[in-house]
Amino acid sequence: MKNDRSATSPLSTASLHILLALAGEDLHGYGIIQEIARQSNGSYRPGPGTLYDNLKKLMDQGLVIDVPRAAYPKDEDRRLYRITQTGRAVLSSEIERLREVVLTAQTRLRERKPRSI
Amino acid sequence: MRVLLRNLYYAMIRLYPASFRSEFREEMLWIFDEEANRGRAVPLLLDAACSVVWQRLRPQAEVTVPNPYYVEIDSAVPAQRLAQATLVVFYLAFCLSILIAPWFTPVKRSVRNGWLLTHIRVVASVPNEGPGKM
Repeated sequence: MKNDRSATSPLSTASLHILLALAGEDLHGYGIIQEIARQSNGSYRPGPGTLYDNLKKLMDQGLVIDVPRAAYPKDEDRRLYRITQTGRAVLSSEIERLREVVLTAQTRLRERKPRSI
Repeated sequence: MRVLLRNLYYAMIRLYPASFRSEFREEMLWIFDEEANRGRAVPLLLDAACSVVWQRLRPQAEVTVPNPYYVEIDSAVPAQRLAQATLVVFYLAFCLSILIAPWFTPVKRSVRNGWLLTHIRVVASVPNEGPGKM
């Protein structure tokens, strides 16, 4: 079931932001929170409970993995997380799904006519 | 105040399932300390409360069983069954001792160790072939 994308889509808000944050570089937990806050201009800042709850779910689904210790930077002793290829594919399909939702919404809003009473 | 909030947060972390707690406890406390330095400790408590509830409500059925036809058999003898077996053995030994006691207990005296014993002897009446019978 790990690679079943239908089981992971649509992603929750936190999961989507976590994958987005990890898409650029490997990060530790607090780094993910800071990156999410930066990407959303401070409007969304998950707490550790929400973060690790979703992170564990993503790891169970094989979308995120631990970075091997050998690949750690010298000054880094915290646990780092990395998005997998499957995670990138799921993120891409989710972004595509959201794009279609936005396009549909824009079209509907343009077509909407005032109700004649 | 900050120490109190940290202790409260630590207590809430203890409410998480053990596997989750052992994996993320240290990182959660580290992030709490970092956020508390910026005066954002209280929202983290609410976040942890929601997360704990979510973790506890999540169905445990997500843990998949590799093969439902094979289950692990616990070969250790349970203490409860051992106690029951011991009780049955003692009961049977007690019943057996009562049954075989007349053959092994030479009761001759009426008073033994301060107890008054009553001897009941059952004598079968068998008609004998006396001289009157011709």
